[in-house]
Amino acid sequence: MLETLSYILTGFDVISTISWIQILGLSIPVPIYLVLCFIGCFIGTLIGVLPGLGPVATVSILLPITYKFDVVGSLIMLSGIYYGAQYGGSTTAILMRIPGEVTSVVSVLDGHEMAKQGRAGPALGIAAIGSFIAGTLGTAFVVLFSAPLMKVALLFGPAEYCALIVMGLILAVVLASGSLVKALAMVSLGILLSTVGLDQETGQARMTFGLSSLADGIDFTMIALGLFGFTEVLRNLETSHHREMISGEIGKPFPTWRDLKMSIWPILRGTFIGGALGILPGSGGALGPFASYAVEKRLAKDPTRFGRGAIEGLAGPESANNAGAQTSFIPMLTLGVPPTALMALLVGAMTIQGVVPGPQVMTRNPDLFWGLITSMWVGNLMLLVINLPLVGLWVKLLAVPYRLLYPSILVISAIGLFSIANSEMAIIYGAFFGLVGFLFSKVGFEPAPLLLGFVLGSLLEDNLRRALVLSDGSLLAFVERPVSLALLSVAAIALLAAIFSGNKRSRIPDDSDG
Amino acid sequence: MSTQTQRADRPSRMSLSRIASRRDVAAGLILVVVAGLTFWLNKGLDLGQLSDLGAGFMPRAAALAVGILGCILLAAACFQGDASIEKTGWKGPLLITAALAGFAALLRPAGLFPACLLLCLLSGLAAPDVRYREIIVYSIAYSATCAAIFKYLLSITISFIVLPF
Repeated sequence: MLETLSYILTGFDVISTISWIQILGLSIPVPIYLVLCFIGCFIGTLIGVLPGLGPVATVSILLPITYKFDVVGSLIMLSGIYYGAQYGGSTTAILMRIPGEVTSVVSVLDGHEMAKQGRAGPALGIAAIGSFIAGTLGTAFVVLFSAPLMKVALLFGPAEYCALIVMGLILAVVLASGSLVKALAMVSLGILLSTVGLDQETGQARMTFGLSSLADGIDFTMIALGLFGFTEVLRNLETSHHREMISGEIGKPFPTWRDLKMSIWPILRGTFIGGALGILPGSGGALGPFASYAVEKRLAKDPTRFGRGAIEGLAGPESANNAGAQTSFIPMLTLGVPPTALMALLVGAMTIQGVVPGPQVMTRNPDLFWGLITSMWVGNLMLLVINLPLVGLWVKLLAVPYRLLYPSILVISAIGLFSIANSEMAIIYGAFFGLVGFLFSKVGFEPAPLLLGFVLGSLLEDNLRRALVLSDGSLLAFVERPVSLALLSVAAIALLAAIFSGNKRSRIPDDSDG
Repeated sequence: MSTQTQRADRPSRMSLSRIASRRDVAAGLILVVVAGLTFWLNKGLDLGQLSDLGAGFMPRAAALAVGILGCILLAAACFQGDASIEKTGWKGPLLITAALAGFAALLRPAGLFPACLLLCLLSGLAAPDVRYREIIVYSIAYSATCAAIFKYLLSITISFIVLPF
């Protein structure tokens, strides 16, 4: 307990680091991590508000820019984008009946109704407050559970790691959207793509076509930006963007005492539900708000109020989605296994900066670990403060037409891609993956499982090799060891359950949408 | 056909599955082709033994999975009716790809600002609701701002503009 407290203090220490920045010849002291946190939250809210651009796409676009900063700064900013987007998505959901993010879909139901009744202000207010409480509790959850989880993970050998990755991938596929077969194919394809380049063990070139630019493998940023950034633009061009605004009074963004009293239990319940589901790979984060809405409706004294402006129907889901955003960091930070495409992007960002994600991060890079966790709470605080007064600004920004927005995105992406290795080829590769992603979307392939497979592919191969070397070629190693057996069984059960419950499941969208 | 009777209580699903089937044919074919290509490309690589996996193992294992799943998709598609993939406009993707390629080509020879301008303008033309004067003015303003920020604030190593004198 005392240990945890000292770690938290370390975190605050890290996040208030001051560095001296050279701008225009002057040396200025800047609390750089706080600034990056703010920028991340701001950008996150911005893209959360703007439909047509999601946190996954944005993170992938900003990846190259973050390489200019150190790994702590990069992750703080990118994470800020993530939970900032949760806040931003609610604003459009409430005001315009358009969920800015996939996780705000449920907020549309009662949030927009409240807005139509002239209660947009309190709706926005309770969404922000609920999200902050959820974010705080979620961060506390991360703090409490990371250390024990990490200790467990340190006992993992290569066989267990292999099993963990397989389980993570299977769960992500099973809990995600669309056709099971297609998602599995995408994971396999991702793993396949991860093998391109020089094999680390033997030094042999695999599928590099003799190109030196592929010798180090396909650059993670190119595939991420291409598949999520460019593809998104291509897909959005096909749909028209219709926006109807709430005209009239928004009112003060403060809920009444009655609102608060009615919302407190939904907020707490939503936090718990969202937090628990957020840890699960795949769409755990997106399931939270739906589950919370269902629970609140069940528990309400008068369920007919739901869908007509019941504040519990907004407070619960909003808390759930923010809590889920926090807890989804847990598998990534402690085990090094990202549960979603967005976490995979963060893993990629860490790897590129030379930090190997996994249980050792806590001990080898405590600054990174605790700085990041502290920034989560600080970020949530910043968001609460930013959002309430800035609602007017966000509303004005919604007037920017997409036809001007997407060329802007492309320019920043292209510059970013170039800056990774000062190479124009990166842009070409990115465009290639953008087209591939577009083609894939036409035949029903989702990009998120591919990215997960890609990010985890080399880890999987590495551990598989080592496990088999240790067991002298025996595959029994995976079932003889209890932890590995347990993990593989979970994967097998989940897979079988998914196959036999019908193969066209209802679509649960993941973060990569919108 | 038994799968369709199971779905009798969900008629909308039935029509969805018909639309999906032609996509599945294309999807399955893509996967099978990719798998085949991978096997061919990895011809020379050693499979190794279980206790000492060679370089060729993982690509082939992954390709095998891709190929098998592709065959499953093809087989499933054969048991459902034929329907089309949704109509796709290719003007957008083509313009945007050309814009990105143009950016890459122009970057060093012409400088950051011209490259950004080309990218912004050309890609902007792909919008279904494009307004020509608007996109021209916006492109100039935005490219100038962006190029300036990246060049002077973030110290990118490309010149703002390369002038022929």
